[in-house]
Amino acid sequence: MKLRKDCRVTGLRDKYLLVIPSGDGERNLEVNAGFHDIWEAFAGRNFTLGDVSDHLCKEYGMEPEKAAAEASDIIGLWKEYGLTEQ
Amino acid sequence: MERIWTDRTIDAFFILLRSGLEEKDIEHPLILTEEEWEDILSVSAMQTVTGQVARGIAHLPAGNDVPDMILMKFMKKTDHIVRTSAIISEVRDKLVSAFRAGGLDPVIMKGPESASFYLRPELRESGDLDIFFPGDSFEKACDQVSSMGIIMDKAPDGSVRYLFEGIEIDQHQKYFDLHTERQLPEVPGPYATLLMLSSHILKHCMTAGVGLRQLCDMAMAYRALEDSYDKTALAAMFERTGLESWNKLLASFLEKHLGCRSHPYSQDELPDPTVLMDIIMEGGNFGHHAAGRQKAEKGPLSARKKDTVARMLRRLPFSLKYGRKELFCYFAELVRGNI
Repeated sequence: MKLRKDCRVTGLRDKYLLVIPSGDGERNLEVNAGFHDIWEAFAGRNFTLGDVSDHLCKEYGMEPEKAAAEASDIIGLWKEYGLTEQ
Repeated sequence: MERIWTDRTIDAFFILLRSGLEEKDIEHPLILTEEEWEDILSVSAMQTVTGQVARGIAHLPAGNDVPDMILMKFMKKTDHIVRTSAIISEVRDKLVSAFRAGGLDPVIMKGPESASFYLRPELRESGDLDIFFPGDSFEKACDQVSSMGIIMDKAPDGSVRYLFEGIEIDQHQKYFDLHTERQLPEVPGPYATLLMLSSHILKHCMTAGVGLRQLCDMAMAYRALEDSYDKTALAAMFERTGLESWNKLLASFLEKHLGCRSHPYSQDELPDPTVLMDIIMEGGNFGHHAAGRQKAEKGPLSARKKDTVARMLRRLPFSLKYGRKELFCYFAELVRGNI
């Protein structure tokens, strides 16, 4: 899967804003630094659940089992907000 | 827009703008009220430099509080600027490719060319594309645009305007906003770019008004092109075109308010730039925000012309001092409908 190219996370000082364009305008969601970092790691490339899990293990020192569960939650959230495309 | 900005707001605004242009950290914190931050947001939008001021905010010292709502508004606006810049860059590439495929070589001018001089080009606001074709290649370019099924509007100065993939294109056969033919520099080139930017600012100062973005363009062009031109030759070119006084005033403003010392007059005593500051703060982006202008822009052509004439007359002392040779040509252009 891929993150939608037209969605962007922009940051200023310690605040981050996710801008999601839609047919009738756009949605703006305030997100945290962790969301921003993970988004930037996967923006513009194809990835799998395993890739996100591996990233969490490597960058955040998570145990594989916990990382897999977190990765699943993150991707679930991205899908819930319509941020992914195949 | 009837609004009096406080000196404190304006001082803070310029600190942020300079920092954003240079991508340099700000040493001392800016302690401002939420209302003052709102004013800075408002001035930034009016002067179309929101992207650069946002970068200045990023360079404030750690712990310098900026209200969350202000940060959100700046982020939202800069996101919009980045998206628009990306679309314009894409359209520019497609348009240039289309012309090159037809054996033509357009020169990109103003907006996108100016953006390339910035440290963060994607944050320089642009809304349209200006392209130039010298000599008979202009007509060939028009033929090519027509062959693509695009409808063009012809302006009284001979330039044409059309939409290409949703973006407004201004296609020019004249590169400089000047009426002199005296040894103008070769286009494209650093001397031509600097003369074009400088004379464009002058024209707007003398007519509808100008915004800080154009001044930032000039400052960034001076810096980016500094190794490509000889300062003595550049000063001589400004003198030859009758624009020495104007360019000294401009240099004075750029040095005092934007920290630019790459101009050709760094060894000279420069005039007080207050007169230029007054014009800039009066109207913002090409004068669109000046008192009464927005009402005039919504009205018929005659109302816009009347408003422009009133402003040209109000600026007569400035114009006679800095652009005497151009002034009467601009009045003639106004009559023909070019301004």
